[in-house]
Amino acid sequence: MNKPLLSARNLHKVFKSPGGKQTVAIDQVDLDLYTGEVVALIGESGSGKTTLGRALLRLISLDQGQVQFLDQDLLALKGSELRQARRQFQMIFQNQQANLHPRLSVAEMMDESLVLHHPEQSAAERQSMMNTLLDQVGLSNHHDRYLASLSGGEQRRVGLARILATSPKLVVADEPTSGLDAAIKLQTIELLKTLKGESLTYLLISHDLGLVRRIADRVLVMLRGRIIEEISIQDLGMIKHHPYTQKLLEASNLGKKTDIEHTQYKNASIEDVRGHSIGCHYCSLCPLLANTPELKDLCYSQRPTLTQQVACFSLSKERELV
Amino acid sequence: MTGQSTGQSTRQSTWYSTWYSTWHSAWKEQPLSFKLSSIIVVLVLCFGVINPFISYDPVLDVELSRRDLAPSWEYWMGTDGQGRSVALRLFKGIEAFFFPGLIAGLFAAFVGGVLGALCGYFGGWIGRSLSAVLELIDTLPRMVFLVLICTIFPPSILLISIISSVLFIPSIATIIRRKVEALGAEDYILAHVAHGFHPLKIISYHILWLQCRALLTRQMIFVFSYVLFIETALSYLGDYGVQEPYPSWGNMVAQSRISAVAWPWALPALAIIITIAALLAFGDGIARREEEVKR
Repeated sequence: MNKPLLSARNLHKVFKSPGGKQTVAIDQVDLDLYTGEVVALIGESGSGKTTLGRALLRLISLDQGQVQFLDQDLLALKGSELRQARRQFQMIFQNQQANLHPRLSVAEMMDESLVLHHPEQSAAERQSMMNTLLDQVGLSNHHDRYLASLSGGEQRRVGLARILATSPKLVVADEPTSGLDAAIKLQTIELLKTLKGESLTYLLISHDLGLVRRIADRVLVMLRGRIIEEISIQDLGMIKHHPYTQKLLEASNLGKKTDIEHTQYKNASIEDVRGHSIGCHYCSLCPLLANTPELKDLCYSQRPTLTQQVACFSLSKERELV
Repeated sequence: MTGQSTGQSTRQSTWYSTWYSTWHSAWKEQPLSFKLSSIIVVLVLCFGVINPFISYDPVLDVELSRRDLAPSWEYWMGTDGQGRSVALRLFKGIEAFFFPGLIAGLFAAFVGGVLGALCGYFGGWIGRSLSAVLELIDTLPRMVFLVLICTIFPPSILLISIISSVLFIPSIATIIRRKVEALGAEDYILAHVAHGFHPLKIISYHILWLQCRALLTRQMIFVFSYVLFIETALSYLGDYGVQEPYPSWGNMVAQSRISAVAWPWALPALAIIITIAALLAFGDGIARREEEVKR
């Protein structure tokens, strides 16, 4: 395969609260993003998706790890080099209002971005580029509007137009459809798809498996800061998944119903995953252990790593045999 | 501009058009108190600016034969105990506080704003120790400290204005620091970082100019009115302020307080009260207008 656009190795991030409590947000994550693909990052709230997305874009410092973006060591960039590089990777924030300044009009914000990222342009060139971009996101008559008078969908689209002004290579979209009603959600998805073109890469952070289904090429499942499964979109819901993934899929009616009889697993809600200090995070709820009791010691004492695209001793063994 | 007929190509908003629209709609929507106070503030501003170009001679012209004259067409605020025109002295008295107040206000707002923004944005031990020093200055009783300074150093209005602006820097810096800390936790400031803006641009433009200018304007006007107050108070007390025969609103009141007639002391006293009240109301009005959600 060709060289990845972004490649991250062995990322770690621990949040320390003032009480001395430590929360592992990112735990030994390896990640490759290739040019032009849409990778979805799914998982429950608090599983570290947003933190990972932000850390990849240097918005949160990492405790450990390497990130290569094109040929640059992203974590070593400083000051103006970093700001130069930021032009190539942009973020759509989960909170749609976060993409805009509350005291600037749409035109002022667009102009500001264009001045920043295309300083060589004249005022007239910027004006025409602004019109083109706003047309592209379907907001051609919203130049004088402020944040407070835009609807949620419009706010997101202004954010998108702003991001497109930088002509990025990678966009991390954090819940791009949260808080939107069904019709506008569909519009936004279509917009994301149209804007994607050939060379834009998305890292899509989402709860919304419907959205993931529509535009993603590859799905990464995150649990307690770890990536526990990697699924290509054709396989989603078609193969035997990690029990946690299965649970997520069932929750959104995408996975086929399993014949799992394990009561603890059946009654567990997704939030029940407590995360054990050693061993597999899911070991106490795992229905697979019923069939493979010989793995019990292993599952309770060692944390599985991603092999055969799944972080589960029992499943990776099974897949290896096939 | 670009030949596109969408009708928005003239939308190139500049700082002056923004300010004009701010002022225009402020005027239409603001309550009567704001309209009255802004008239007074504009009058004081105009008088203050033309003041240095006008000679002192008629103000200092003592003529005992026309002492304590009642207001008339010739002396329309009457004359004081030494036959000098009260109106002229009142007008010339603006000079005593105008430029010192302006300098103090601008200096306090600028330094306080910058310090507060730096403390709030970067935090860390530098921010914490800086705010500790500022809080220490803030505990000084302002008036007592100023009188103390005046007894130690040769008193001048420039010294008084600089010391009073320094005394206000901590409170301004604290207000701005809180605001910046609150904004720093907001996602949209992080989004501006992610977009690639220079941190200095984010602090100075996106935070200070766009979000704190109302606060800073109000604080600046407050410092100006404080300098007015402190100047008149010191001049009234006599030793440290403007000395006779040069006029200040404070020494005008002091000079005429035993006068047989009311106007030589009542009019400057009234001027002090009205001007300070107008300044504060004006500052509030501007800030209220600026803090409204933009639509």
